Amino acid sequence: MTGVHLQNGSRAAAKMPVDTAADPAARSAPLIAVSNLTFWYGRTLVLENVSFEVPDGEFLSIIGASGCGKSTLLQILDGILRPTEGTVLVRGRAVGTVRDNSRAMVFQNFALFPWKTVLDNVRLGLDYRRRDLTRKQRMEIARHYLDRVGLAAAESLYPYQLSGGMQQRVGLARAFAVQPDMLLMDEPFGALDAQNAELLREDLHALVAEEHRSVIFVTHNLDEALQLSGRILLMSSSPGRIFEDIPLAAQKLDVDHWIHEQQGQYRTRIWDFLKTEVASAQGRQVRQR
Amino acid sequence: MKSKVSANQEMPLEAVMTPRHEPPCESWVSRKRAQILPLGTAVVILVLWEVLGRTMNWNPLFFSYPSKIWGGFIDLADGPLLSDLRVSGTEFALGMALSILIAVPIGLAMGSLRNLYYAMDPLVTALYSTPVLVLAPMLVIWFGLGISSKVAIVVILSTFPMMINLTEGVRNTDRALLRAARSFGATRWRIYRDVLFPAVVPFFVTGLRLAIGRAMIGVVVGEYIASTSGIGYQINSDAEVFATSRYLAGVAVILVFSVATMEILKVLERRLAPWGHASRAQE
Repeated sequence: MTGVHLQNGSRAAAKMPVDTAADPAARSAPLIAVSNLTFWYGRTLVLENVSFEVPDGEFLSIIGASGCGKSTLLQILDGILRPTEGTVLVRGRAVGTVRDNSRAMVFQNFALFPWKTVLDNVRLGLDYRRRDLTRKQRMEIARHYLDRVGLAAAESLYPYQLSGGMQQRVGLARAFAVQPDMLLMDEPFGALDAQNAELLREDLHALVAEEHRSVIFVTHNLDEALQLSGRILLMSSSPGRIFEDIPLAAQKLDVDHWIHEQQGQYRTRIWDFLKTEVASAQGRQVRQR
Repeated sequence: MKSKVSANQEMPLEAVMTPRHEPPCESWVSRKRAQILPLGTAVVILVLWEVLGRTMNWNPLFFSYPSKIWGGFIDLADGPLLSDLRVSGTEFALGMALSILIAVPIGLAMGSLRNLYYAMDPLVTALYSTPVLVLAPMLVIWFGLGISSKVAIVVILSTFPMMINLTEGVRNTDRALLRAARSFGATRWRIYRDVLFPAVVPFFVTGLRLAIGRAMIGVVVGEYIASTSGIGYQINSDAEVFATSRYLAGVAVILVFSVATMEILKVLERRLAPWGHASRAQE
């Protein structure tokens, strides 16, 4: 099935075809499987021996101090960078070997094209990935997601005419519009003020639940990670390694208990780790000078 | 819906520096002051010039004033002006067209290919910053007194500012946009079409503006050095015989042409890059 039906403009009903869709073995594989990933940037070892899996429907946050390689890891998962060693499999296939529609990226500084209108920015991924759809169909999907993030009235504006919060809504709509299995989000709310970030977190939470997407969410903000995630990967730095894999989903089922007791405990634990990481990174910087 | 949604609007520096408490004035004069004020300056200068010319009784061989220059213009227009403009215009247009044809591919390639940039940049920068007009006499010897030598002068003057600006445009393209395009699966051609070409438009227009200024210098100086026609030749001939009013009328023609070209470029820039003005205003 290649068409995408939007019934009454309310919901994108059909899922995009993925190259692996016809292969049952691939469908049963984890959405993303990273094993023994190592990445050198010139003579700097950025990531060492990173392994984890992400099943369908999971909201995974990656937290670590600045420079621990979180964004590099995300770019490798996106296929922009190639790992020096190790493998990244998307539904059982090496990333970068096939052009598929399994992932879409949301960027910290929005990365909207200044010369394209809001609607054309949202249409961007569809224009590149879904040549099988007619222009009208792509417009229809883009409009649907623009409406979904509350910017239907702004479709003919240019990005510079929007506030930061609105620009990131466009970024979200652009990523959701290609209907990927997984969203890769690189500190998407890091450039926003606290209120806009909170609003967008709520919208993201609703969209992810409604569309059943998986998310890998890189952030510095541990409250954000605790609020949104079903699981947190804690990364140590220089080189970046997985320090701890914290599953939260089970505890979150009992919402009241979670909010009042567990969240505080996890916050203290993660913050204790981050404090040490940030302090040691500053120590390294001072020594290097 | 064309209204701006946020407060990210262009704000005049004056308004930022001096907070105003009265409501903004919306009169016609206030709205059109960007057009009215420069006209006002021109009128004041012309009137002062005219009054000085009429009252001071300076030697007409060395000095002229607006009404006399207008007379000189009528004289020129009845005489060789049109054919001179045709010659100079042809030299200018051919020279600019050749410059664009040379500068665009090389500039884009230098911006995209690092090795080519390293190899070519010192040469291009040297040729841009050296007053290559000193080569004009040699070009006249090579290409003769006709339009070819002036076209060559325009090319060596105008190519490099465009080339340098295009190179910088490509090199300054926002890496995040390139990454976004690749992330969403853009082909190499789509990256050029959707990211690099639009990103260099404002740089290209800036290069074009510099190139046009230099091209006009090239045409006029080329005709000064050795020519048998053209507006530069005419100006030089009138200056040599102390026909000061006609000479200044020729200068005024060039001035009007320059201003008109720059205004056309501004319109072109707004059409080609409607996002550019506002985003630069934000920076």
